[in-house]
Amino acid sequence: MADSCWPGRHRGFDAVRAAKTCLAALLPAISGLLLAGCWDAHELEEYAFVTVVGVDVGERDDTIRVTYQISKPRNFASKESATTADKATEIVSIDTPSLYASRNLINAGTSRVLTLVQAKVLIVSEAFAKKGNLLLELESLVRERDFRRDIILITCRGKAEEFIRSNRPQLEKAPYRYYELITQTDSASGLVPDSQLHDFIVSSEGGDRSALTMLAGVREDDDREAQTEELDDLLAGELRIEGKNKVQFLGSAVYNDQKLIGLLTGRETRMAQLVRGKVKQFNAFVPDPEEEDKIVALLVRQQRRPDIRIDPFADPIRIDVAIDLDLDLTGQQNPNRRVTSNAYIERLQRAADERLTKQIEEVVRKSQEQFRCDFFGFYQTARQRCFTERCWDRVRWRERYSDAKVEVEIKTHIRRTGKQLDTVRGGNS
Amino acid sequence: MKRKKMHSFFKQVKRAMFDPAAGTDRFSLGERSSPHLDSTRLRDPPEDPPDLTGDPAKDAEALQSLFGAPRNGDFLSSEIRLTNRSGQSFSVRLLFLRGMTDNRKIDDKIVRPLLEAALQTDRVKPETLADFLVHATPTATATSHARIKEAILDGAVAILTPGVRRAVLVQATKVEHRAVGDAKTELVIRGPHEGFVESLETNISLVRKILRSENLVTEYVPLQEFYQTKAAVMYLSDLANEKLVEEVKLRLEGIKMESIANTLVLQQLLEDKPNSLIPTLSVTERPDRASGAIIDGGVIVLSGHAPFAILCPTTLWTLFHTSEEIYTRTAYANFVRFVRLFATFFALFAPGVYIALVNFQPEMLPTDLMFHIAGNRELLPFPTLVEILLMELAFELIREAGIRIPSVIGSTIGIVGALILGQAAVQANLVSPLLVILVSITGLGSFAVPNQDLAYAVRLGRFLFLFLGSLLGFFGISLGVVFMLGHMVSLQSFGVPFLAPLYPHMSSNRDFIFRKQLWKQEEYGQFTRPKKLRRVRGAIRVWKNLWEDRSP
Repeated sequence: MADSCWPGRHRGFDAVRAAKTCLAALLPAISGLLLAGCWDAHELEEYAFVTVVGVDVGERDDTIRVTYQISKPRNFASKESATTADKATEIVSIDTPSLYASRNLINAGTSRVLTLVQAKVLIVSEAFAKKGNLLLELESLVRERDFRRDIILITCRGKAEEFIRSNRPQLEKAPYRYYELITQTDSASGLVPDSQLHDFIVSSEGGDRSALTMLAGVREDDDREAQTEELDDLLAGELRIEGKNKVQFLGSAVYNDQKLIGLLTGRETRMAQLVRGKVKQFNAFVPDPEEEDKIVALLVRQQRRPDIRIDPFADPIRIDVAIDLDLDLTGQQNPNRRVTSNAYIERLQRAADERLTKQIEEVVRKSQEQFRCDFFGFYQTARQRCFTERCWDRVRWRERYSDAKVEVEIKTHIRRTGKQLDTVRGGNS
Repeated sequence: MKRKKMHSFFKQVKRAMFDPAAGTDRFSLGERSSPHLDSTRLRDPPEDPPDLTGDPAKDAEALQSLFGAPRNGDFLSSEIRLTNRSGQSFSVRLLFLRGMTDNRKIDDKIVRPLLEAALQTDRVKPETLADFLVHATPTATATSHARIKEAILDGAVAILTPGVRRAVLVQATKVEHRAVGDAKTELVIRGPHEGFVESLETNISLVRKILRSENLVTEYVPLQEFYQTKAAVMYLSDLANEKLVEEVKLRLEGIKMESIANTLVLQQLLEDKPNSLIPTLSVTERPDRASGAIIDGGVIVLSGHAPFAILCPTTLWTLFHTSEEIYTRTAYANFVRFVRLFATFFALFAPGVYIALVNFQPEMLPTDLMFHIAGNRELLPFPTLVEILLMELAFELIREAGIRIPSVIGSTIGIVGALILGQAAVQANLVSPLLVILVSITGLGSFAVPNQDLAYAVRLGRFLFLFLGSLLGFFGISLGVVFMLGHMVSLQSFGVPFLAPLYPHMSSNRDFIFRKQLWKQEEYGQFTRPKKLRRVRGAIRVWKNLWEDRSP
């Protein structure tokens, strides 16, 4: 080696050893990388992103019918002109014994891998929800890693598949955004409950194991004449709104032990949400305390959480609900009244108190007598009185709730009467 | 040669990146003794044997051949005949280099005094002549060829007188250099605008102008045998740690390299860890920053070849701060620092995080954004990684081309860059419009990094994180971050930990990302182990206390 022509050899450079060193360096580096990764990198265009999932009763007893609404990403590209939501999506349905298998089967006709990472809405039909344990049926969905808990859970009247196919949002490009927006605006006024899957799971695993989900429906063309005193005392699908989109969200579905046991109308839902302290503001009507045939319109705001005091050790259980509401007078029909007079405001407040109290008591009665479950979440307050699990077990909340003595007290304060001191008069005032 | 035992790869990586022996075998500013500092100088000053014969003609001959004259036309040896009042005369020889000396200075300081001195005396002796000069101008004497050569190279004039066996050396240096102008690489809006130039004397005077203290010491360290230059080491003798000063000087002396002793070359040769991506020494073009480093107990190194000063030691905060933040009010300064921090993070992580999101965790993206990205990717031919690499490389290309292009046609770069990076790439369906924005912001972020070296580190690191993100997603990025932090923590710069005084934690003004009010900055950062603890005894704003005392 001494007489080689390699430069640097005189310094003891050894090509073999250098190669060994390089190899020794490369091997752990490469194998470290190879062994550490999951190698699940995928380009976005290899996926079909499901945004809405619908679940129906299947044609046979042991199957379920799954409907997937897949968004077409092309419509979101910057260069594409706006299309309506029904053109921006692809809807596929399939009868399948298990949810998990359904996606592979659908791939028989769809070119891309279905993924639920961006699923936003889960719609179950009434019939399916009545069948039994909802989460157990959908177990594979909920268990999956890419199925998020902030998904919106909707119970719909009729078939979920039909509902998804007939939902034609006119303002949004993306159907999932329609659902998101409508749940936000709708639940702020209390007409539908907060309906994330997470809430459903938490309350259906809670002390009373009852939960509420949003109720959706499609307006029939032979519109059922629902004659009610107030327009919000209806279920989804019964409200007469003229427009292209016949889909409605109104009221809630009551689940006990993850099984559908009944429905609440929009107003009942709102009252339940008032007790839960989840309403932001809504419009209400109160008959004029001085003239029965006139109506006063009020904007109701829930600024403070309701004060709920429960004595679970009393027999029967005692539940006191005190709700504080702020009102704005937004309109009244009497042409010659000064709404700013203190006496009138007092009377108006009393009228509103009575009316709201009555409505809430109706819902409470319904929950105790018809459904026999506490969907107000009272048990959370009641449990705080117990230091141990054993103590709570002795309360036997689920059995004794329906006999509980519930006192509802509503205090309203009229804060504003609007910009008009006097009523607007026609002609020369 | 004894065959060294080969370490396993992991040990090598550990040693290279994290220095497990950091506490024991490295230079430290602490109590631990550094035997190498107590040893003698690496290079003794040249001796001064009596080489001169006392015959000017002969000696000039010898020195001429040393300089390669007469072929070397710059070496001049001129003979001056001095005549006294009695008419006796003898001739002295002046040896000097053209281009290093000023003719007017030679006339005024040497020739005229010599002639006058000769005329004033009756019997001038050559040996007394030198004395006249000694009284007239700063001079030195030398007897050896080597010393005379050095002096001449420094711009001195060597005067050889007959019968005297030593040469008188008179400084008549005049070297052309740029006038002091703006600091070109570290512009500020508020603050002094002058920057260093390519002249050692000027640079030193710029620092001295700011720190007018008898304790400001400048030590000249001769560098390398060949192109004899000096580096100046400046520090405050009552503040700087002596070990630090010694180490800096020792390292400067210990450089043997035939090259131009440019400050930027020195920076690389003095560094503790030249192989690291992260710079452990920094340079500044601004005299005020250099002075600031000295006031923090540091040492700066200047040379006459580049308009920079090396800041020893350098920490991450040195790289991250600019002098502007001292000249703006605290709230504004902190806002700017926050923006810069954001920019740095963006420049480092944005592409990597983007690819990790898009390829591994699309569920982390908001649905609308994800569909937007997906929709724009529908028609693109390349995978995301290639797409980003294309754009990043195009950006780097524009950046490099923008620097190299002659300024006359420089404006085309902007047009081409904007078109290529922006519209055309999107129109041709090569990249998605969102990525254009991402790469642009990333590029802007890397421009916002104040220190050039750190900016390079960030640019390279960006590609590292891009590959990690594309291989392993967020797991890869977090892996990279862990390695990066581990590496940064184990770095040292002249015995100072790279993240000091944040880690290891020690007393300082806590000026890291955000700074306090100036009047609360009362301490000397202890990371340089200075000789003093506090900058002030008591309060800084004494007037404030007076004010409070007067109020009832």
